[in-house]
Amino acid sequence: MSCDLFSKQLEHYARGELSPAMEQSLEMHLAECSVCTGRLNAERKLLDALRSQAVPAPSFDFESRVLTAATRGTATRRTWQHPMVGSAVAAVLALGVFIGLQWQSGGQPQQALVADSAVVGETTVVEASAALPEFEPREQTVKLAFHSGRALDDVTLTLELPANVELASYPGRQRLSWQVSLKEGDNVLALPLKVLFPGDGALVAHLNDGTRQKTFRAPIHDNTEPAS
Amino acid sequence: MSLLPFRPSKAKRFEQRVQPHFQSMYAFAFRLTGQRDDAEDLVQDVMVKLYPRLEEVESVEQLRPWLNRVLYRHFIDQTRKKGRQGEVTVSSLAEASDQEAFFDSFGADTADALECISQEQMTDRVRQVLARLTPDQRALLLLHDADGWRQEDIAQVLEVPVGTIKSRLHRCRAKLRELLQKDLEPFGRPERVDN
Repeated sequence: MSCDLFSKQLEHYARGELSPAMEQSLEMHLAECSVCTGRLNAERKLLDALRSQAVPAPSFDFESRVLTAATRGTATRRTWQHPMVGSAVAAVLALGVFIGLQWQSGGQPQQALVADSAVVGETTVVEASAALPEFEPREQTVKLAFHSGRALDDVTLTLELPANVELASYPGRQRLSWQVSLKEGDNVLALPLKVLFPGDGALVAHLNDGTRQKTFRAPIHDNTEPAS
Repeated sequence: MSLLPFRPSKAKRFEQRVQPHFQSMYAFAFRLTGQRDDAEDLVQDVMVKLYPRLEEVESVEQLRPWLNRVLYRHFIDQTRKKGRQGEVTVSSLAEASDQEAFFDSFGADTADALECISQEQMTDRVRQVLARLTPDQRALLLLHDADGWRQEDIAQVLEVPVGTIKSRLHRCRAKLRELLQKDLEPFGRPERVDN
């Protein structure tokens, strides 16, 4: 067997895809050719490297989230895909508005009002078209801040929005989930909301790290009065 | 008195039918997307699409390859849409036939440099080089060489002949070796200089 012929069969030989007769023929060549032996070693190294490229485990709530999305008919995104949301998060992380989430406190999941002094949500009206006699959808940024006692990866943040509100980048969705990482200390999230029609309601945020869940409720007031 | 025959709810029937395949679908999706979150989103999108088609899902005998085919088609659709929006490089495996002669021209002498690096170095470099392949080149290589999918199974999901998978695999490996080799050349290949 020539080195050229060996080369043509090399990748199949390394993967055990050849007939015993062909394997024997290649092995006879290998026994007397150090060049092809070196090539085979390189191919095996490459194959081992490929085999070591593992698939990471999916997130803990993957299956339940997929089933929930399927039966509700709406997909939720795990990643901050909308640049507006992503940049808002990045921009406000340094500010430090507080919601008193203490992961190390343990115990049962709690509910907390964002309006409490220890649990503060900051609401800023970005744009309001109050001059119009009829209500028009308006945008409003709600900032939520979570204080974590330590850095946490793979925390699921689920938002539930009242019927008259949607996240500007996810129209028509009242429930969204993301996988987020919390740094130790304050983590601030700015949510660009669109208020579709008048009404009060609450934005509910659940944080779940796989073993514990905390729930927060932030009132969203309809503070748009049509101009006379 | 006889008990009324219960039929599980639609949601329950769907769950029982598809949930056993979630992990394998996720693994396939990860090979296509290369990102955990994207892989999970891809599986989720497919399930949102399939839930209204429960009757059809229940009628499929070989569900796993069928689900993977649906997932693959959805991935291709998404990739093309994003490609049209200029977001990602569209996969080019389907158009790779004209590259065959080029890749086939590579001799085994490109292996020389690969013989000299350690297994750890090889693993690290392969990880980097895989990221430079198109999504379906990467997926094909890893499904076969890392996850142990048979060529027949890949052909079934991608809906192409087995012979096509064989030649694509050969080209993808040649491409991988070429990229690894380039990385190992300290000064790269001589470039033509136009005066």
